[in-house]
Amino acid sequence: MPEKQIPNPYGKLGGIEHRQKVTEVALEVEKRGLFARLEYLIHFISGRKRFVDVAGINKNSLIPEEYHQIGKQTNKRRPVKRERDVIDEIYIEKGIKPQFHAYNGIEQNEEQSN
Amino acid sequence: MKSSQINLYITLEDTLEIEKYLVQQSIFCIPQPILSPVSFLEKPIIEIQSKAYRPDIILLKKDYLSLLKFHFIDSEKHYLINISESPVIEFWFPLIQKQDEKLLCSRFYYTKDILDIANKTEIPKPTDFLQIAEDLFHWLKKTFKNAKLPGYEGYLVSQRAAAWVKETGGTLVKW
Repeated sequence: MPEKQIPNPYGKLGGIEHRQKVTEVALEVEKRGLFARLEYLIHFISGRKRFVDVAGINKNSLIPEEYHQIGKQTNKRRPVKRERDVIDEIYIEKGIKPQFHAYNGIEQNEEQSN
Repeated sequence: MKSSQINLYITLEDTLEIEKYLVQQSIFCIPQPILSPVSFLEKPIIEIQSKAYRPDIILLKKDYLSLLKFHFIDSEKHYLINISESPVIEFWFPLIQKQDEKLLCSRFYYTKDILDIANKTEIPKPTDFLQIAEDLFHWLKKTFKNAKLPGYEGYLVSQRAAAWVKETGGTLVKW
């Protein structure tokens, strides 16, 4: 019997490199005097939801003032399409543009298809 | 990294119920930040809420003290517990901003595995820790019946939080 393929075996926070980058970004956020919150839930008006990898929360208002998305980049050092979509979606909805941090690596096929 | 979280609106009275459950389960609460990784405080949630600590409390069983991992934040000269790599549950407690009657969202969050850098893999956290966390989440959902307020789908809104909105005209802050 063929082994069942799991679409995302590492869960929402991704693989090992992704996870290490998440920790690195969260620490940077803390060093700048914000509270870093991992896998931060954002609900959209449409009812859909997204988890941002790291949110930087203002210590006084406790409102997020930064969002950080960690993912792969293309040859041209742009976020891959799925990450660009997430970034755009959050920006349109929340008015805060998530900062992108690449943990890889280049996705060749992705770049060729763009 | 696999993880689990519950985002919920609860009141301070609800927190007292949570505190009771934690005491029964011998789970203790550590306020952050921590000044030394070898000696830190254990405090009731209510006390943590009333003092100038961070809003993220760490829930921990004493059996796991030796498994705790820390981050040192040099600019702030303090330590934080590394939630991803330690068998702990993070709890962002409820806060009411009195001046404009706003109740902020609380969260329980834990990760289910830790990073094994040497073998480039992730290994599950201790089975009994995962069971404790799962039991807590089950208890929360059972104890705080969701008032299902329109517009708050995806959040658990406790009956007391819903009553607070009705009585005070306050708002539940959505991010």
